[in-house]
Amino acid sequence: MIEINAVSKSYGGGTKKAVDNLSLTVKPGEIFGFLGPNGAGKTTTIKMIVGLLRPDSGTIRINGCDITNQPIEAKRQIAFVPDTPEVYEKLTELEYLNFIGDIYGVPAIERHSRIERFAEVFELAGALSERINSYSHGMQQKLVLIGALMHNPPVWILDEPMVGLDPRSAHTLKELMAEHVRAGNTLFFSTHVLEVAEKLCDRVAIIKQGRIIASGTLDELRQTRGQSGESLEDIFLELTER
Amino acid sequence: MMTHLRALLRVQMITTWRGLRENMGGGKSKWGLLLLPLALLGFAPLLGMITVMFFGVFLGGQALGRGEVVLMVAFTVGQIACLTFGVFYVISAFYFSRDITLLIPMPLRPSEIVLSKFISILLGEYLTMLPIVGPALVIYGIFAGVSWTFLPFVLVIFLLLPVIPLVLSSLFSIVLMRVTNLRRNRDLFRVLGGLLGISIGLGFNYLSRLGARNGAFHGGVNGVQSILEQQQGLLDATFRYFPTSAWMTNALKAGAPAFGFGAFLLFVAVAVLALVAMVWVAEKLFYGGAVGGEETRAAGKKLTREELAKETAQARTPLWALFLREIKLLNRTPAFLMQALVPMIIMPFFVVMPMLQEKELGQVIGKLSDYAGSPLVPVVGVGVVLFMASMSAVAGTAISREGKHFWISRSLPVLPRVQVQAKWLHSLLFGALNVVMALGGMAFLKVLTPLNFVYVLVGGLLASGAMGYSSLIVDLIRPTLKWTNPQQAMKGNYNVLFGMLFIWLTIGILAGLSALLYIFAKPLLMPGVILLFALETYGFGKAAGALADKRYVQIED
Repeated sequence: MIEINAVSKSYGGGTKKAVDNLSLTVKPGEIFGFLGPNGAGKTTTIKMIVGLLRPDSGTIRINGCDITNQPIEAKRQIAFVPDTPEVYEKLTELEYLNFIGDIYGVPAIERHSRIERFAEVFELAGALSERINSYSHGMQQKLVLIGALMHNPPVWILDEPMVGLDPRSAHTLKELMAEHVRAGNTLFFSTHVLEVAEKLCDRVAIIKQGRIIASGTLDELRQTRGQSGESLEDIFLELTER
Repeated sequence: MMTHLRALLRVQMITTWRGLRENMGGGKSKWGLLLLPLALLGFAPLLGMITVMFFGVFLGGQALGRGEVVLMVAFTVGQIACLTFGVFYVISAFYFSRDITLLIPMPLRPSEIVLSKFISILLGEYLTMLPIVGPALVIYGIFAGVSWTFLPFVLVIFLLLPVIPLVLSSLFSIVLMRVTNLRRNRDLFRVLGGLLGISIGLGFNYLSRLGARNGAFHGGVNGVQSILEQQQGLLDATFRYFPTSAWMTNALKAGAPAFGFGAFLLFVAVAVLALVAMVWVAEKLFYGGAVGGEETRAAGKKLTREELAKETAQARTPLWALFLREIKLLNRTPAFLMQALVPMIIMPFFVVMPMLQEKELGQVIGKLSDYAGSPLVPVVGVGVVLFMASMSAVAGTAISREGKHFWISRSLPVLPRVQVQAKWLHSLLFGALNVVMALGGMAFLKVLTPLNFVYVLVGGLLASGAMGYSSLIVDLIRPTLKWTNPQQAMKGNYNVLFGMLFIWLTIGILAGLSALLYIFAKPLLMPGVILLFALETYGFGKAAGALADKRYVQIED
């Protein structure tokens, strides 16, 4: 579960408010889509959730652990995939995954089976002993995904996870996401691909200039606007135009 | 063409300036520039040495009626430096800079890109040339009785001085990159650059020793005069092989304005022609060498189930995993590894080479062994370890080296104090190598008694530990995370300089305390020094851990 309560974040000595008094809750067994135009505050919010940025005010709790006061416990609950897949290019894929396994304390047997499974489904099995600097952008994205999923964490936080993935890998990821929440876990992800959000998400929030301007299930969003049959794209375009 | 060139140059200048500012300040703040005088102060002794050397050359030349020799020497040294390092600057800027992939698809002529890069290198060269050629020009201007016309000519000549060698470097580089696939071997290129730097350092050291032995620096005017007389052939050859040096010298030579003006015009014309030639060659060959070669794809082999099981069989503690990460990332980045090993390569050379030139080496060593029991010997041993630690950039750039990957460390569920501990252990590995070198040196000098061995081993490791923590503290306070090539993270990182100043301060304190202990409690000298470093390691370790816990949260990318 992710609980974000009245979180704000400013840049440039407080002159530019990137996130403004944002509150939302993502419940277990739920896929939550975080949508918004470029520069709306999506990545800033995500970085605050995973502890890469500190909120100016407000609290964020991951499965009950406060990311500011209990960062280690909170981080243990998270799988995080950033919007740019930048990992140590001088390591091989296997070395990187072993490193992540060591850090998160993944036992050897589980490590072996997970690496084998994920490398197979993301078609990276043939590249396990290659240095990461020989990887394409898409391959690096897949590697970061595998690394994030290695320790089987209950909360997934993915920033634009489909970018750079080939159709087959994107499909695999969507299946894994669905499987993850079916097991009662939590998933929060940002995307610009509204069709994906429409298909996958139980609920969505649309953020603009650091504030949530709409939140709920697709039906709830339609009801609020009094127009049935509208696509998420129509709703998004109208809401973000104003 | 001029519009494009102006736009390109503007962007180059902005990025260079911001890069410099962020490098100095460790962030976007302009306050970091206040550290610039401190950094310049570090060059003061070198500048003083160059000035004294040129003054000697001028006086020696003047005694022979050839005071302008100082100009020729300075111009030649300046041009050689420009030519040699130019190749590395040029290849780095023309082919390895990140904006190349952005610029090539734009509707720009190859010569426009090349010229903009060339001019930005040229501006940097002026800063390099200033301490090399500047003192000679000032000395000649003041003491050779030149007229006021010297000033405009000297200004134009100084501005054009790096042009011809840089054009030659550019032509060589453009052809080299067109016919080889060096672009795929960026790391190899950087290592070659590092090796060149070391070779020049060693060569300079050797020459200065040679000069000192021949009395050039200590024998005053007569010493230089005799060298100039002996090396008349070398001077003439310089005139022949470096005609540009001769033209520049003749243009500025006092008392020959008519002849000088012709030489001046000739020099300017050749510089302009060189630029035209470079533009022409760039048009023909630049894109051919710059396009492609970005992507590399290693031929990997698919692991069998058994191999994978073997590779994943060992689960390590987070500290050990982080320590191994530090080792792998440093060892596999040649620019990092070079920089980490430099003190260990250079130090023995600088100490051993002058000693080998001493004819009575055996006698000196024989005498030294009489002092093996002196309590000062292990103190000096630890001092040597400290000196080598002061040149090491391993701990002082441990955070900076993470660069754009620092987000990984910050998102790991491992306390920052533990992460810093792994970095410290890694730096201690190099500290241990320094201790081994110091012990080896002591054995060579026959002063390594069992007690000295224990003292230097324990004291040296503790000293390295304390210095490792102090350097880490500096890097935690102002890490340089926004670098585009690994050399910026380590070689161009001012944290190393600040760490060095800090270690020198410690060496000063060590010397003072040692003196006090030596006077008042001689038997306690080395135990006292060891205790001092043990306390320092403990204190700095605590401070570095607490600071890491704070800074890992604060440093936002």
